[in-house]
Formats: sequence, C-alpha cells, structure tokens
Amino acid sequence: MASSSDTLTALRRYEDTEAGLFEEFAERRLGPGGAFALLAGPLGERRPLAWAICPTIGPEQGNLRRLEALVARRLAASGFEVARIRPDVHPLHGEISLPTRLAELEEAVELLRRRGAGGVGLLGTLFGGTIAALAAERLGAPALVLVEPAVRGRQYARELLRREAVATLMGEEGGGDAEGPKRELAATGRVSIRGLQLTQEAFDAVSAVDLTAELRSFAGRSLVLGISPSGEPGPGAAKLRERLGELGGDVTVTGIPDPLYAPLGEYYYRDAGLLRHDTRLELDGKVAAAVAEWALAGAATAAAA
Amino acid sequence: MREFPVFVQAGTDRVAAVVTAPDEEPRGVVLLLAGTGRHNAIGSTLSARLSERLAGHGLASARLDYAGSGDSPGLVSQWNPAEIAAATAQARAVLDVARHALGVRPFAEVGTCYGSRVALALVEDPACVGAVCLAPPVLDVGGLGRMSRRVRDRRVGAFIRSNALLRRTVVAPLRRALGARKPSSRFVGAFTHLDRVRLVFLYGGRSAHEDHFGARAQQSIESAVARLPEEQRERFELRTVAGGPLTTFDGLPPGEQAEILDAVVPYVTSFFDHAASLVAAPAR
Repeated sequence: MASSSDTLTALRRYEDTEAGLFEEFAERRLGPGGAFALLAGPLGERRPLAWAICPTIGPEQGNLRRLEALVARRLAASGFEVARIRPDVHPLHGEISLPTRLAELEEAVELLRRRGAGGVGLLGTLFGGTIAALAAERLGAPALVLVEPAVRGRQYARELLRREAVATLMGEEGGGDAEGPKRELAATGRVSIRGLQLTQEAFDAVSAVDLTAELRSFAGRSLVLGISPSGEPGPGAAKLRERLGELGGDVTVTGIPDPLYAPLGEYYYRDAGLLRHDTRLELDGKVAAAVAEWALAGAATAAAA
Repeated sequence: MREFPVFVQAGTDRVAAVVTAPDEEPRGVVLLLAGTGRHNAIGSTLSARLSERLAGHGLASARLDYAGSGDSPGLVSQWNPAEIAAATAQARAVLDVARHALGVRPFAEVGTCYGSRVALALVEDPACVGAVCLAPPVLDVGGLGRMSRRVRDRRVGAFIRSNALLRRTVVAPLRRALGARKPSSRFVGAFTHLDRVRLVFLYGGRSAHEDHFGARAQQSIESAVARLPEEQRERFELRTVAGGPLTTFDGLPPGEQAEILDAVVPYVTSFFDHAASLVAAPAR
C-alpha cells in the first residue's frame, strides 16, 4: 500500500501558475479531532506575514466555506501564505465547541510559523471572527480581520437556539415549539442545532464571551468588515472600533453594501424549482478583494517602515 | 482507516477531494456524491460519515467538492440537475484516481439529490456494481417549465398568471402539449443497466416534496419499473425512510442521521457481496 499512499500524497498540492498560487493539504492535522489544514500561498516570493482563517463553530460554517476559500486564494495571490481549518469526520467535529476551535486555530498558527511565517494574522467571519479575536489576544497576533463578528457570545448562543427552533417550526407538520430547543437544552443538557451537538457547557462557554471586555491587550492592525444593504457597518463594529482604538491598535472599519438575499451564514441559494442560483458569489468576491487590499496596504506600510 | 485529502484535475477544472482507505486491502471503492447545499465537510457530512462506516466494511471511498463549491477552485453561479456534464467529469476523475491508487476496479456510488444524477450517469461503467440514490430528482423541468422561468419575471408572465381565463385557455393546453415535467433521460438511461447493476432510490418520509418526490415522480418510477423484465425489477428498490428530508442530512438530528447511515451502508456492502458472488460462482 506504500505505492497507493505515495500516489495520493503527491496529489495533496496543486499549483495554479496563472493565478500565481498553490493550495496544499498539510500533512499535519489540527486540534483534538484532527481537522484538515488547507494551505494556500504564492508561487513566488512570500510575505513575512501569514494568515490563519478560523471557521465559525455553528451550522453556518458550511455556508461560509466558499467565502473562506476565496479569501485564502486572494490573499495567496497577493503573496501571503494562508491556512484554513477544515473539520472532517471526527465526532468532535459534530459538536459546537469553542475550545476545540481555539485549539485548531492555535495549531494552525504554529503550523504557519514552522513554515517560516514571521507573524500570523487571524481572520474569521461571524463567530469565527470572535474566536479569531480571542486567539489574537491570547497569541499576540500582529493583525486581525473580522467579518461581521459576533461581539456578544450570549446573542450568538441564543441565535443558535432560535435557528433550530425556526427550522423545526418550518419542517414539522403540525407545528413545533419555539421554546423547544431551549427547553431541551435545559432538561437534558444537550440539543441538536441543525445537526451539530450543543451541550449546556458549550452554550455557557459561548454565552460568556464578550469581545469588547476580553480584548485587553491587542494593539495590532485590524480590519472590521460589516455587510449590510446600506453598506453601513452595524453597531457591533462601532463598539469594536472604539475598543480596539482604546488599546492603541490601527483599526479600520468599513462596510460592503449588499442586498443580502439571506443573512450572512445562512443558506444562500435562491431555489427556482430544481435550479439553484448562487446569490452570494459577488459578495464573497467583494469580501475577498477588500481583505486582500487591506492586507496589502499593511504590507506596504510595514515595508516602508 | 487512512484519509488522503487530494486535489484532482478534471479537464479545466480542479476539485478538492478526500480518498478514504480501510487498513486492509479494499475490496472496492464507493464514490460519494453530494447535493449542492450546505456541507460542513469536504464532500458533505453524509459523505464523510459514510466514508468512515464503509472503511469498517473493507471499502475505500472518495468524496469531493464540485468545482466552484466548498474548497474546490472555480465559480459557479447556478446549479441545474439537468446539466451535470462538468460534475460528472470531476466525479469520474476522482474515482479514477482512487481506483488507480488503490488498485481496485469495482465501484459503487451513493449520491444525494444533484449527486444522484451524477451517480446515475456513471452506472453505465461496466465496473459499477450499484448505486444508492438519496432524494433523486426523477423529473426534469419540461418545456413549459423552462418557458415559465423565462417569462416569470416579466409583466406578461404576471398578467397570464393573474388571469384565470388565460391560465385555462393558454397555460393548460401548453402544459399538455409541452409536458410540464418529464422523467429525466438520465433516470431512464440508468434503468437500462439494471441487467448488471443494482439501484436503490431512497426518499425521506417527513417532507417528501423537499426530496423531489411526489405522485408524478412515483408514477414515473413505477411505470419505468413495470416495463422491466422481472429479473431486472428485482435489482431496483424504491424505499421511503422515516424522517428527512434526505437532501438536508447535515441539519438532521443525530438519531435520524444514524438511521440514514444504517439504511445506506447495508445496500452498498451488498452490492459488492453480490458482485463478488457472481465472480466466484462457477459458470453454467
């Protein structure tokens, strides 16, 4: 079987010479469940700063994979090496767990450092951004990109329960119960949120997160991206700007206008019979472009200094 | 089991895929083909979970993100189950890589929704021993459906829809003439291979319409099956499982996910058992 391993191992990586980038599944697996580490980077000279992309922990992670892939490739084409975390088949990957994701992110950072990165910026969308910010604080990251981050964990945790309740109400003939998931969690200490397991312990851990309070020392460069029909970043972005500014960081808050057919993180196809139209292709591209442009500006400033 | 994440070239496309091999020498490969919805894992959660279970039965598997979805490069603005040429080529490329690397020939397939159309396109391969199709869309959008989509957003379309007389005198005869929904050629074509392969169609019982299953689809399946010789009819099974919809496996509670896995795995292993018994049986 050595030959089969060799054949398949050789396919871990591809190079796109036209785009000037490679993607590669690292041999190292991340975290206690062994998530895949998917690297992207330039074929040419690599910048000192690398990026680790942190997926969110709820069921919305599946709807954000394409966005993360586009951001990674855009950064790679701009000279940055990037790692993204891909949960797989381990039972831990079927659970909503803040510690598991933090462990994966820390190991992704370590992986990039071992590959020669001078520093590793962290990036995430929704609660993935929240976790990226917590890890930036813990790891002393030099840069941070937050796309529509959840500032208060309590709100995000409640939203998880609400999402399950809505899906149950819509799916069950004869009705469901809007308080059902909350009651089930309280009664049994466990509830299924769109196929992912949420324990009371995990719910409490997520609920306890207050980003403005937990950011105590991060003084790096940061980008907070808000997405809304008007293009105006939400109130959470304003709070983060204030907090990150207080800490002495170089913070940029910007908005991307988009009609948002579905809220970011939700199912984004418009179904017309059997046809599925992707309503987020343009937005994902805009987010990737905005992140890369900001990252390049930072690299230019650093080089000039 | 061992997992090999890979990138596979398929024409001008390139796809992210995972080949899973059992610790022992595999007795076959199972191609796992997802639908086009939300998938937390490469290939889909169903595919990832199946790959683990199948490895326990001595079977290798391969799963992929179609180009333009998940971690595979590319951009795709619309998915249409009637247009599967590119996805089929990608699936074929991944299957070939897995079979070549692992040195095994026979393969089976498990496809969900859009992925079941891709699966049905590959059953013509003589090495295919069977396919389990979850929530296969049996019907294509007919001529009227295509026309409806074109005029839907126009004022004339709204006018016709709002007028009962026009609906009766224009739309109804057109529906009869053009056939609103017809069995897909892929579905009909796959049935011609029942002399060799086994096919299973699974639908969820909770909201069958979300699994593209209704009276017209059932009628189409039953009439196609009725035209088959008895020996071939026995190689097809239509089954409804509790719960679902199967198209949204990722979102189902663990108990229902386990039930679906428990339903699918025995079919797949039986495909290989049956194929092996045919090879082992002395020629008469």
